[in-house]
Amino acid sequence: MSEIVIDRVGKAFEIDGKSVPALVDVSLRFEAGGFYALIGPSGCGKSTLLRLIADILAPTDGVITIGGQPPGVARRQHEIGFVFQEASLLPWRSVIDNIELPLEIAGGPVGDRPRPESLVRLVGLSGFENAKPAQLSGGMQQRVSIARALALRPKVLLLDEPFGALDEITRQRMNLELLRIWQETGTTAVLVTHTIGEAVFMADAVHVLAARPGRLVDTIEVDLPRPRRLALMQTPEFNRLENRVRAALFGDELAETADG
Amino acid sequence: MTFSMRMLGPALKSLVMPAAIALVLVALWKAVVVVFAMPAYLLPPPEAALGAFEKDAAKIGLAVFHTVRNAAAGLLVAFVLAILLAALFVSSQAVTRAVLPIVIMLRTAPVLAIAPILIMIFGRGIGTAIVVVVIVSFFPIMVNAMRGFSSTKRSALELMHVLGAGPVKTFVKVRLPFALPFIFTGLRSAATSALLAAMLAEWLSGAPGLGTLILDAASYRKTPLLWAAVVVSMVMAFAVFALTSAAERRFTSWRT
Repeated sequence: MSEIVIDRVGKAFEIDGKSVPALVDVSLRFEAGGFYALIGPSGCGKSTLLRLIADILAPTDGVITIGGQPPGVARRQHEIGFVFQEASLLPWRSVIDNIELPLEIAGGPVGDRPRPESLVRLVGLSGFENAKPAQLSGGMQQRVSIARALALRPKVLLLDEPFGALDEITRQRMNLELLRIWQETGTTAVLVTHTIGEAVFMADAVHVLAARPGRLVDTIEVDLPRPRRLALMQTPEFNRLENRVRAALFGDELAETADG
Repeated sequence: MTFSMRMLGPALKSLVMPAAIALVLVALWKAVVVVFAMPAYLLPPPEAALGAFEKDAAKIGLAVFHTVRNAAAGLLVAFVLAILLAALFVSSQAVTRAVLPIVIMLRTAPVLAIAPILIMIFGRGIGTAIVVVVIVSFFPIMVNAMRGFSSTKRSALELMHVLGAGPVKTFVKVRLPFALPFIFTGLRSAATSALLAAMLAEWLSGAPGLGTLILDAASYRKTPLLWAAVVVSMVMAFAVFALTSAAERRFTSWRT
């Protein structure tokens, strides 16, 4: 629901007194209500970029705005939902209490925010409200963390390889569910992934990053119809887009192999 | 009903074996007295200790009250101090560098050596007892709490940050609960040494309590009373250990 603008952003980390660039001159625009994917090899700074948007890290250069405001303002107004690689649930809290955590921190009346019970239903965990995280499978835990990220009805939803630890089948199901939830909530979603098929299947546009230093190398617009269905992955159009992402990821390396 | 049964069942079961072994020990005690014809001033038979326990029940009870009160008060002060210091140390490097050496010096100073000063400053009553208990028992709590506070998962801290939580809410809702298992480890060893420290303080200052009772019984050759007091102090230490373990299970059940 909020547009995210990234304008010539760079990030350097201090390592042993030396400044090591993690991201260099990245400019991107995520339109309000869109779904975007960031893909690249490890070390390309895709997770760093997500943390810059979430105001977990501060950029060394450039400016980021969320709905025209700095990320820090959006964060303090509880407009950002973040789903981490690991579910990072608080193990002593039940499912429903974990989902209520953001409400406790934001305080004040719940207003037009979704009720935790309806969020449990939204992520398909009815009947598990009082279960502890240790009693849930990895996929169920990650669903809880998605529900938690949605608890404050965030204007942007940032997902850092949320299903990376899950098996292929579970991941496909979770992706379909995530698309359904995204469409129901209308939030602006940014997904970090290292799976080409996942990026193309989910996003309106796939932004490809390269490593050392982390930089944006290409953007592939995905004009596949929504709602997306699994059968879509078998179409030539889907393969063509996957190949374009692959070409952007591997560059000359891919050409060499094809020639030889 | 089912709740209390489930709670009571294992508790009772875990008491059966120690009770059996305690009975065996008492039997052994009796056997040693009979077989070696031990004189009563060296090792009285168990029934004599039991007799002393009946005869001097009020005396022993009062002593137990004093010692437990001093140990508990000292432990409470130590606990609050240790948690506050640990929270301060993990949040500020500068404070750590300034204060931690002093804390370590206080901890490593032999209590026996500084006891006369403590008695001069805090008197012969509960004051000295509390200070000695604090010196002896706050360190394990603090060290473990520090480890606990810095063991919080980074993603949990990032989550609290993204949610816009301040340092206080982050501490109460995430850092403290994550640290509880560590804190209980420290508390368990601190609680038993708190009893020891309380009795030591009585020896040093002559304040009433189980430590002084044991010392007096020994010097007046009231051997049955001495043994009764020793048994009581052992049972007390075991009870404290069991109590803190039970509290740990109650508050960190999510770990299993």
